[in-house]
Amino acid sequence: MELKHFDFFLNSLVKKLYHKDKSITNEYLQEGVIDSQLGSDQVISLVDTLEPILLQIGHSDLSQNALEKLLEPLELRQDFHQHFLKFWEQQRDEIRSIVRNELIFNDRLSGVSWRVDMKTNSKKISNINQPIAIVELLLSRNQQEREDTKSIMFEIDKTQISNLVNQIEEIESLLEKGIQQKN
Amino acid sequence: MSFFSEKRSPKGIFTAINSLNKFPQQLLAKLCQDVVDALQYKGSVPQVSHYQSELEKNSIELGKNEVQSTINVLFFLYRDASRASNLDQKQFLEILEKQTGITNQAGKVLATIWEREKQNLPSLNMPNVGKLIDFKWKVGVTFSSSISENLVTPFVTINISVSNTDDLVQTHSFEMSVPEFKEFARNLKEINQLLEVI
Repeated sequence: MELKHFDFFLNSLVKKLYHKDKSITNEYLQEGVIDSQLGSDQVISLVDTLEPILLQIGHSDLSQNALEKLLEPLELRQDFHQHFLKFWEQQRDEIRSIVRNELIFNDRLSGVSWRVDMKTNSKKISNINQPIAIVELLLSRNQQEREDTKSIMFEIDKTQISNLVNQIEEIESLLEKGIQQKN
Repeated sequence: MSFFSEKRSPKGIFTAINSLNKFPQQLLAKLCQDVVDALQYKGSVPQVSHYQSELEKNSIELGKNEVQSTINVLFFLYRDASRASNLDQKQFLEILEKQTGITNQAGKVLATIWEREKQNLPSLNMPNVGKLIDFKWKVGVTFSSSISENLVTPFVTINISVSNTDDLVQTHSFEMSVPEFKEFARNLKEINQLLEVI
C-alpha cells in the first residue's frame, strides 16, 4: 500500500462517518485502491482499524498528542503515521463543527440577511424619515434526512437594535469568561 | 406561514375567533369578502365602526377591540392560507376547526370564501414583516451527550417573539454554536452601526 492509498482511506472514511456519505462502502474502497496489492480482507481490516480511531478523535475532539498515543500500538509506517497527524490537523476544525451541529437538536440559525430602509410613509409623522432595519432569520432543522427551513422577518428600529446589541455584548463577555476558564 | 402548514397557533387567536363566532352568517361573509378584497388591493381595509354598527342592528354587542381582532384574525388566516401549498376547502375547514374554537357554521363561511378566492390571492407578494416584541437568551454549556463525550462546548439559545402585521404574536427559538453566534453578533452590530449613522 502506498501513501496515496492511505490518504484515500482517510478521506473516504471521513466522508462516510462525518458527512454521512452512504456511497462509501467497502466495495467502493476496494475499487479506489485497485492498483494497490490490497485484497478485500486487507481492506476490511484497514477499515476496522481506522474507523474507531477516526470516530474517537472527532467525537472527543482529541488533540494531536492524544492521536499520537492512539496510533502508537498500530506501529504504522513512519510516513503514514506523520500523514495521519497532518490529516487530523487539517480536518479537525471542520469535523468539530460537524459534531457540534449534530448537538443542536431543534432549530438552528442557518442564515441571516437584512436591509435598512427609510420609512417614508407612516401613520405617525414622527416615524417618517426614520431608518428601520428589516431582518430575516432562516431557521433550519434536520428532519429525517431532509432539512426544513422557515423564515422569520421582522423590522427593528434604532432603539431596539441598540438594546439588542447591548444584550449581544453581554453574551459575548459571558462566552469570553467561559472560554478563559476552560483554558 | 405556520398556522395552516405547521399547526402553530398565534397568541390571541382563540379570543378573536370567539368574537367571530358571534357574527350573523351574512355579515361574516361580507367581512371575509372585504378582507380578501383588501388583500388584493381591490378595496380598503374594513372599518371597525361600520361592522360594530351592523352587529348592533343584529343586537350583538362587541367592543371596538373585539371587532378589530376579528378583522386582524381574518387577515392573518387568509394570508397564511395563501402561503400553504394547495390548501383545499375541506382542509381549510378541518384545520380551522381543530386549531381554534370556531363554530362549524362560521368555519364554513370562511372556507367557502377561501375556495372562491384562493387563486386570486398571490402568495408571493405578501410581505410578512412583523415587529420584534421580545428577545430572550440563555447560554448553556453542554458537557456531555450521547453523540460525543468530551465536547464541552457552549451553546447560545435565543427565543424571539414577533408580532406579524395583524398583531398576533409568534415565538421562535433556535440554538447557535459559538462561531454561529459570532456571525449573528457581527450582523447585528453592523445593522446597529448603520442605523446610528443614517
